[in-house]
Amino acid sequence: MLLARKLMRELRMQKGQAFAVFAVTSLGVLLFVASAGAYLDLSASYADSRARLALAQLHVDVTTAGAADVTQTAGLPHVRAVEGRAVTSLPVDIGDERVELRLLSLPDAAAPRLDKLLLSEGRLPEAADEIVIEKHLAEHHKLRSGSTVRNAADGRALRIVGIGASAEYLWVARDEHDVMPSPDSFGVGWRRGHGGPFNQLLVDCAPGDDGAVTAELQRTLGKRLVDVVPAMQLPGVRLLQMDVEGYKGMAAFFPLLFLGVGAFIVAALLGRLVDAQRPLIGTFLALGVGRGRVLAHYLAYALALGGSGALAGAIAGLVAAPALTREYAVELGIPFVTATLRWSLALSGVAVGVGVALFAGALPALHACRLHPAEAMRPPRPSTGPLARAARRLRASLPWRMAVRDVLGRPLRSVGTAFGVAAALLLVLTTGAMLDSMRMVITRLFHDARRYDLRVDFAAPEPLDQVRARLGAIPGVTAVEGVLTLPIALSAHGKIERDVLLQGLRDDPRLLRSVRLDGSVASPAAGGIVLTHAIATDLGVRVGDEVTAQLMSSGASASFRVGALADATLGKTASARRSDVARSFGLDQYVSSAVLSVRAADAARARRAVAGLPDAEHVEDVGQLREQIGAAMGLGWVMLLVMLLCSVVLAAAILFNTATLGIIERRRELATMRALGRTLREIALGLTMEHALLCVAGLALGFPLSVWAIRHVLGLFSSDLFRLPFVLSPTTAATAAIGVLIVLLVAQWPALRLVARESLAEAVRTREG
Amino acid sequence: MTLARLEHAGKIYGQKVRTRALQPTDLEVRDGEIVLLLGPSGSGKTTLLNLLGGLDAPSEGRVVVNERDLGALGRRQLTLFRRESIGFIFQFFNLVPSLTARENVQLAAELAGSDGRTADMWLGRVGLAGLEDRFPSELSGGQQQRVAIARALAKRPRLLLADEPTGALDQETGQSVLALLRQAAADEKCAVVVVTHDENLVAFADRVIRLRDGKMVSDTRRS
Repeated sequence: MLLARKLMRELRMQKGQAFAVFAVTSLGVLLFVASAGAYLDLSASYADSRARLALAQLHVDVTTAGAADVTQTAGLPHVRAVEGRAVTSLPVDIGDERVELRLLSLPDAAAPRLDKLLLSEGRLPEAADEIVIEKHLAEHHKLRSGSTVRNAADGRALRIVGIGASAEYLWVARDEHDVMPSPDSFGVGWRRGHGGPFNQLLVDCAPGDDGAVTAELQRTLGKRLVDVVPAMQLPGVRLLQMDVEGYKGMAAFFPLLFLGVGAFIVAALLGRLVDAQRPLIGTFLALGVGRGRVLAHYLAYALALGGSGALAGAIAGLVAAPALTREYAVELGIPFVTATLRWSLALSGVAVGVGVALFAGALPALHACRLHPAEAMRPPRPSTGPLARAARRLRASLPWRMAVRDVLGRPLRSVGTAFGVAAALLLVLTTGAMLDSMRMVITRLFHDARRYDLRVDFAAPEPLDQVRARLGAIPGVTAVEGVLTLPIALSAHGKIERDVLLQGLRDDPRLLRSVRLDGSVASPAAGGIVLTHAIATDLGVRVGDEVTAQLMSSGASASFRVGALADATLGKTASARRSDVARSFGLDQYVSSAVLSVRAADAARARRAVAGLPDAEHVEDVGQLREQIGAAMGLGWVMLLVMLLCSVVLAAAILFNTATLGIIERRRELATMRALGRTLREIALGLTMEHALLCVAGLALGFPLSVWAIRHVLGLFSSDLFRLPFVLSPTTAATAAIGVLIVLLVAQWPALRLVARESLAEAVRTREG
Repeated sequence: MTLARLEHAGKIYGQKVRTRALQPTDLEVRDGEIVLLLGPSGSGKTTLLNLLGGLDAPSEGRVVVNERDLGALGRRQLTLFRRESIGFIFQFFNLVPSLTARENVQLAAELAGSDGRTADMWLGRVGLAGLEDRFPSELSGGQQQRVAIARALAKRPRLLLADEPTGALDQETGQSVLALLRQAAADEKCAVVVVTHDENLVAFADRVIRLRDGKMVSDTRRS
């Protein structure tokens, strides 16, 4: 009881440090409970949304199919349900924009049983000129039920009778290679099929039966079968799932950082407390207090410091998680949201917070209970290890000798401080590097790789000369480059990578290039192909290896040698010389796409003109793409900036704690110096030297740790569709290092002021301990 | 000649609960004098010593040392004044643990503008020749106190203040330390004020001032 009273009073006397531990631990546990809870809820919500909207397990592309095929497929083993639909593209005029509208047919006179439509407004279409449009398209163009758009092919009006969403298009991706199309160029809609033939079968089965059902489909559909795409491989579904999984990484990494900092502060505080209370501990032991009680007493400190923060953080996290879930769900467009109070997660958070604090406090507590009473009542001896001995031989002025010996003479404490500095640096550098990396990807993508203003994909390959002439004649167009774009499958070493977009570029491309993340251009050599790192890794190939490219449409194949790897891309792409691609697949002097540069003043007019071409299947405006990416990353930037702010605050907390403890525990020594006649300024200079040395050691330790952490965090956000490179700009590194040093030095001042204000008479008489 | 004097100087501690530690006191210390402040615990002797040394400020009256009113000095000026004029010896030695004996003395010598090389000379004078490179943790209590004395003397102070200098030592060691102080006072011609509760030290001093309950009760010069 008395020891408990001692504990509470001493905690009250160290309010500042105790609050620092409380704050950091509660933040760490809050982040853990809230992020993990949000991730679990989001995952469950997305899965629930897919189930409630009956997303078909397999999307089977066929050349043609009818009702008989639907019936036959429904009879296959493991198949639970089948629906046929027609997927077509229609150019529509919405205001001034020509938009490629992907229309999905609905069953006649009934609501779909698979890939259901969730209406937010209006009703399902009935007549042939009625459509429902997807909500992103509606929001962007401010369309409502009752609005009309015009079919650019025949000039007829299409009436919008509803706004909706489906599980397949919660994230609207055009295909694997165009994952963020602007609503100004692409949208999705639904209309009645009216008994027409199908080019897609929606097949529902259990996820584990994919393979068996696919084999049956190959047998029954034969050459009519084009592709079978499992639900989770649909581009939009995959990207949304990746986004959700990204929160999993955040739920693990950042709470770990915060709790690590909390552990560090607990260990430092408790270590110094035990040091300061050595004579007291010796007295307890001499009086007969058992070592177990001494251990329990100091562990109770750790428990009080960390446990209170963990409890507060768990409660706050429990409350925050549902709010975070709803916020993320709105951001991601997930329609059915389950936000639950996850008590088990909160308890886990408390357990983690308490566990971390007890772990951090174990070493000092064990040290306390193992002290020999007589030894404990004497002042601690300076270290006699090799570093300390080397420090004693140092030839330098007295202030430097004192600084170096104080650092090397207390190795454990100095290492702890250096780790504190390293942790501070790691926090700031990790978030800073993520910002650097994301900025760099954007720069490479839009400044170095996609240097065009517009890209047009044609419905079929066309002669290069004609394409140049037609597009070059459009007012405002300043340059045209033809691209032979072909969907292929790549294979090597027995592995296959499907749905790769092979881009045949001119020998010296200027508008569309393959660029490495360092900004250098990876031009394909004759007979060569440039792959992304992700594709190369999946195929197990390196530069110099051979790969086979097979056309998805005809099955024709050709071999290429891997010439380089380049990653400034969006989507699964590869590039080769246009002449090589054309020759390999019998399309000499033909192109299927073109990229254009346009004068800024004529941009809108040129875009309309290109979109108005009868053979233009799709038009991409790079400016709009950039805006799309910016909007999609909006929440990501905010989160990163918040993380950076938290990191800076945490780093400051570590450094203030470190500097304050280091000064306060040397009160008598500093008071003696002042009694002898050393001014506060001279004392501050000596302390500054010490802290500067510790800072240098901490930075030396912190940089490699930070590099490891950065690589790990960036890996969480990379995939085969895009890669976040390791980027640590010199400015970021220097700013972080200098910032840490400045904060550490500034952190001395509150403690020095405390020392300056206290009574010299009392301080010189305190017993060393 | 009067080196230091208290002019009706007293001390009260605390704001909520005010404790009178020293009654308003008048006292003069002359050059070269060895003064013993004797009294039981709580008698105000350490308070008086701290006022003389500028470690504490009086609540009333003033303290003048070497013709300087300590109350009129700012914090930095006070520190510099202590550097030049006052030597301290503490009960628990207060040596810097990370410095050798030589370096602890050098610290004080350099502060006072002396050549740091005189440290060995001072250590020799207090009987510690050959132990210059030892750290405080490698010295006995008596040896540590000798280092503290050497450190105090290395500044060539006008006024040497010792707070219970033998409190942590056995009697024999304590006597040798006092003898050292006495010799040093004679050699350096500085005044020495020693605080103690030990009656056995009376023989060491030229003058014994007894205090009780914060008040000077007697002031006796030994012939």
